[in-house]
Amino acid sequence: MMRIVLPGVLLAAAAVIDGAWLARLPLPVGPDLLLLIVVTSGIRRGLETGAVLGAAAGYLRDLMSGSPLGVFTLAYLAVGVAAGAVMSSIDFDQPVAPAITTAVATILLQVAVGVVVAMTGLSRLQWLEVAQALPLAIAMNALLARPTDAVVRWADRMARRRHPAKAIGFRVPR
Amino acid sequence: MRRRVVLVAILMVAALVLLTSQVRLPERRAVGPIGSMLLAVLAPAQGVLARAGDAVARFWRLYTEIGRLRAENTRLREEVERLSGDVARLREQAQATQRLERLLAFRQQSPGRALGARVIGRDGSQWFSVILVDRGALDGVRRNDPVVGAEGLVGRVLTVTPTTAQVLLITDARSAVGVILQQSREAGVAEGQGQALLRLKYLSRAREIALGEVVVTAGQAGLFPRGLPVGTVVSLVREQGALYQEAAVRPAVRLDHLEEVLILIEGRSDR
Repeated sequence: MMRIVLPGVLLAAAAVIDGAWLARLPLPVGPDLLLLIVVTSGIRRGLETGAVLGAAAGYLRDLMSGSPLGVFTLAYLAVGVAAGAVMSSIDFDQPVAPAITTAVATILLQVAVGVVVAMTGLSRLQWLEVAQALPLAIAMNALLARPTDAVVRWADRMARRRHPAKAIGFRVPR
Repeated sequence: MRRRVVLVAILMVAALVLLTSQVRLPERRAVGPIGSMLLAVLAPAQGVLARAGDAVARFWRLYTEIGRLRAENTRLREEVERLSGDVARLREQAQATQRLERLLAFRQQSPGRALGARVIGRDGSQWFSVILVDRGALDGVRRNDPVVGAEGLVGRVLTVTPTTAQVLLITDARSAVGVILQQSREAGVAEGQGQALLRLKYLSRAREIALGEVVVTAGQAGLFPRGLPVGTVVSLVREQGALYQEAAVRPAVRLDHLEEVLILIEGRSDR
């Protein structure tokens, strides 16, 4: 139960903090805590977790941002699946690995959202604006990647402590 | 592996269904019951966080403004001090201007030539009533020249140096001025007593003298021009068996607040 509740609480907290604080910073773009959790969880736990958390995070983002439901759901799902898929080939404990991974994920997310918007015609394509804001988003996400990884691992430890029998389902960090 | 593929496929299809259902809607968005419930749960938390964030932001803004406010406060204090100094100076100038205007008006009424002088010193003891003015022999001032203020007689020049002069005030015990009462036309001598009031002597007992009657110079001794206001009668003394009656006279000029005076250097009777 804690395996489901804790990530859900993390995602909900991230969505609320994103909307209440980070989106209101006097910056062109803020860090994306939902993306960071999806990427970190996907890489730490694998494709299934990445996919589920990606879809959930995207759905929350759709709900909170007022966008048509499904746009961010699809985009975050794609990022979560990608993060889970590269799990075995990335050593996430290397010092710069979280930063590089989240930087790539940030670009991937924007591309995915752009593709969905382009395919559905739900909004005007704004590649130039996205490209201008992307470096700042990448920098902030990269900066917060390692702290987010620490939070996700802490949540894993909490879940294992309360349910030791389920520990086998978690990937032990190297 | 197959389980993973199935899971991803299910999620993908669900997301696509969700998306296509939204695309068909006129507003391109319908949250649905699950979304409404989630929003109902998360919105209050977001509101609380937003308010907390606003409070922190306000505190931070205040904190960052403290330095600027401190510098501005210092600047404003200096400005206030400077302006207060300016106000005091201008007020002083305005009062001086008023005094000089009154003095000028008096000067135009006075006979002969009058020389304006600034009071630059005063005898600090209780024994003598003497002031020092910034005009002297080089300006044409001579001993016994009458000195007046805007309201009337101040005294006469006692000592002259090339650049200054000492003025014996009418309240000094050494001062005696021949005067006449303006209404009753009774003549007398106003003597100083070293106090605020003058003693008016040698008044005929036969005359009825009213309190408040104005005393002016008689001009008979040749020292002061005739008709300069000296003061007003404030009390009368009629001693039994005395040959004359006496009166106390309050000087017309506030001698303890003198700042500028006029020295009458022409039209002197003794020339």
